[in-house]
Amino acid sequence: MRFLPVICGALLALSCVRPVFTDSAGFPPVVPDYIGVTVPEGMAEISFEMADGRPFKIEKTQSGDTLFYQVRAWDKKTGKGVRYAPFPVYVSHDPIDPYLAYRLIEPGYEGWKEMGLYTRELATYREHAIVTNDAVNGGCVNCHNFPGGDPSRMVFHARGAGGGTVFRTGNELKLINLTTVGPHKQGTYPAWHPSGRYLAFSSNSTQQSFPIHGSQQVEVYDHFSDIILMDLQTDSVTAYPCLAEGSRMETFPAWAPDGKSLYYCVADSTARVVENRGRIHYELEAIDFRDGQFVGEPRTVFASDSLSVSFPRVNGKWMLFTGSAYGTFPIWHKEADLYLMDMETGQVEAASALNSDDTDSYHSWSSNGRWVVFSSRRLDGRYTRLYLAHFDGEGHFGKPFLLPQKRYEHNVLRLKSYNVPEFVQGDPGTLNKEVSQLFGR
Amino acid sequence: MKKWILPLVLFAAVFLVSWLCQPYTLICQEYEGLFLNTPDAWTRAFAQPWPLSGIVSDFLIQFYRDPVYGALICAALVVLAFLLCRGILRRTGLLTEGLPALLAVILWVFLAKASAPKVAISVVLLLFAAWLLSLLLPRPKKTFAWKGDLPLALVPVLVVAWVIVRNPAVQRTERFSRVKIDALYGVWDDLLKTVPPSVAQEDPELTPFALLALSGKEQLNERIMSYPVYEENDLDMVYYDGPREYYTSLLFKACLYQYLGCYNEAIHNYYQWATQQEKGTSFIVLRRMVELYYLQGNYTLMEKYCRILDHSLMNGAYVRHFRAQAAKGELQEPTPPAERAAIPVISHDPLYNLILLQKNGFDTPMLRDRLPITLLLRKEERESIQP
Repeated sequence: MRFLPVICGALLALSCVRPVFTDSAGFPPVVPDYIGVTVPEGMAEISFEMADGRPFKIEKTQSGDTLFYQVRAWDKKTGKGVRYAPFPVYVSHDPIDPYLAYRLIEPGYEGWKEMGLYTRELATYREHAIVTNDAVNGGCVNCHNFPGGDPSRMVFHARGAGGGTVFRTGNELKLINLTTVGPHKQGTYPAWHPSGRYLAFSSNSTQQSFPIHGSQQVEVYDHFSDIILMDLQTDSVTAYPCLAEGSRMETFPAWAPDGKSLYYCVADSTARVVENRGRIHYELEAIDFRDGQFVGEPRTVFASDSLSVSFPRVNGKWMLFTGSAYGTFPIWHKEADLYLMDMETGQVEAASALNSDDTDSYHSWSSNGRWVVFSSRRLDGRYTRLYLAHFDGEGHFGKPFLLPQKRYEHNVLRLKSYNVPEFVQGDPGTLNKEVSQLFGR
Repeated sequence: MKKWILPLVLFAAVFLVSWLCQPYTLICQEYEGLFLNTPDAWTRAFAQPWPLSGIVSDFLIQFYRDPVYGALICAALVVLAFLLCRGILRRTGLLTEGLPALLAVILWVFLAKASAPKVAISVVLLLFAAWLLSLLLPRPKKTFAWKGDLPLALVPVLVVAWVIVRNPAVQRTERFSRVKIDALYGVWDDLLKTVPPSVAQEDPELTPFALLALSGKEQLNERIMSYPVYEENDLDMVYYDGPREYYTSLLFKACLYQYLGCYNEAIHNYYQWATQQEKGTSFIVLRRMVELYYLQGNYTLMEKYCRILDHSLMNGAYVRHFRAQAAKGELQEPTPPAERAAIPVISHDPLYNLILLQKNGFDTPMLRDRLPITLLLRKEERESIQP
């Protein structure tokens, strides 16, 4: 009887097939693809799994600024295993802003249950809500923006009953319904002037449509849109005729880093937008800004008959924008890719290192311009996930990598999409209580 | 032996009533419930008020997919509440069956209402905590007991059993649950048996489902007149009053477009339906996503939802089945942009949508059955508002 545990243990050990490994010169087929990526120093550890679901073990070594991950994977049934060549992950000493802010929302249609603006510390896996829609009577919270990544200043919209635009400056929080001031236009996409005094908003009348067949299940478009300017010192809002033309739709404002010009996208207004959506191509324009005023005439920066521009973001002499075949909402367009423009030469090239076969869209630069974060649907075609990539300042991006989670599977199991990723230089904290009070809760 | 009479009677009564009179109510709770072992699900669970009872009730409800298990769980909970309450009272020297029986049947009412399983679980958990605390009490030196306590305690059990069996609200919930499940799976004969014209007359919300079943059997043209159809909305459920009707109309539209073969619009409505559910999605919506993305040849998304369902206890066979199907299936290629820009979009007008679908090759028998009736009802409505 006393030998029973020993016998059971021996039988158990014999029942497990011990894997026998053969060496392979190739890298392991892992998801997500972290092979040869450049990561910032101090970032949370990457996690991955075998694309074919095999069990595996990792041995991590370091040589200089390169980490090597050697993967041994085996077949549970046959016990045949493969020891793959160690794959490199390069560590860059270019600093990165320590936090990311984004919205988490079901990638659905007109409605939602829970959504919120969240922040994630890059050195750890810690994520917490900045504000959720619980605080705003279940309405929508969207289009957050931090000027220069400053966590103490923030703007976002809270839609729905009693809603408006919430401005945070230090400890002060105020709610302004932009439709009740100035030209009575609501704010949509914000762009905070580098001085911190002005905010440009696009004001969009946005609708959705649902194609009856095909792989694209949602199309979003504007019926009209303008750009308005808010002066935060006086809380006044101004619409400039050249940026609010009825015959044109101006949207996606973005300031030049020196604040002397505003870039934005513009397309001619079209009757029967849904039917003609394939013909709508947004161009990139700019207008000068001096002493709190837009001056001069808008000038075309980039125009194409085959590419519709959205989300221009300037980083020194480089501008990154999303290009899609048509329209104004690239996240539902599988062909949407990121494009890099050399603003000195006007040359535009697809940022091939960043792009995938699926949607690659909303992006933002880190405060030092050495990193970019963008949203991509390359994992499953529906749920947007965040990718980061290194930028060398000379027009070259490193291979992008998926924002690491404690376990890669979290990306599969999460039923929400990441929207509007922005780098932040510190933890913006939690505003739920304060925002609730603004909404009389 | 005597002390087990009431628990046994209680168990038998709750099990039989739940299993025989509320099987669809139980199944529907699983359909619209969700228990996943995922990081986000746990974060959400602990963020809600009374997290433990929420977690326990969500965990138990996943077994309701088989109404026998559901009925067993309900019976076990009620008996457990009875035993715990009796145990607590005994520690105070009160030897009674009546009070615990009363509490147990109140709990049964909550379980039968289906909308409040969390309340019942909270009560059981509180009783359990109280019972643990009562163990710290010294054994009573004196005890009190009533003669005839047991027969008296049987009265509330039998009364509540009778009330639940005969209660119109419970019956309506059961009927509506049955209709939902029949509509989701296209069990048209059973749906028509559940909603004959007389039932549709007293519960107009069910009329569109009965008409959907008729069109599923291609009998709408012949039999529509037997149902109380006064306006187009009785057929297609476009307008709604309040959140409950909105919830129902989204489910109806999801089913309708699924059977019309317009999977994009079905997915749209299932997503919308999910946002109206307590957790923003549910087992049935996740399973429906697996099925619809499988039908669309989008195996990447199908696999995503399979993997999510793999993090529950009761969906293993289901997931294995669809993975095996997908392994043999044909992958759908993404639509090229030039072609995509020309694809017509759905509208809020059901008549327009039916014509659009017919023009675009969705020429199903159901569509052929519904189109002329929709046209007639539209014409009728237009004429009725003319002076």
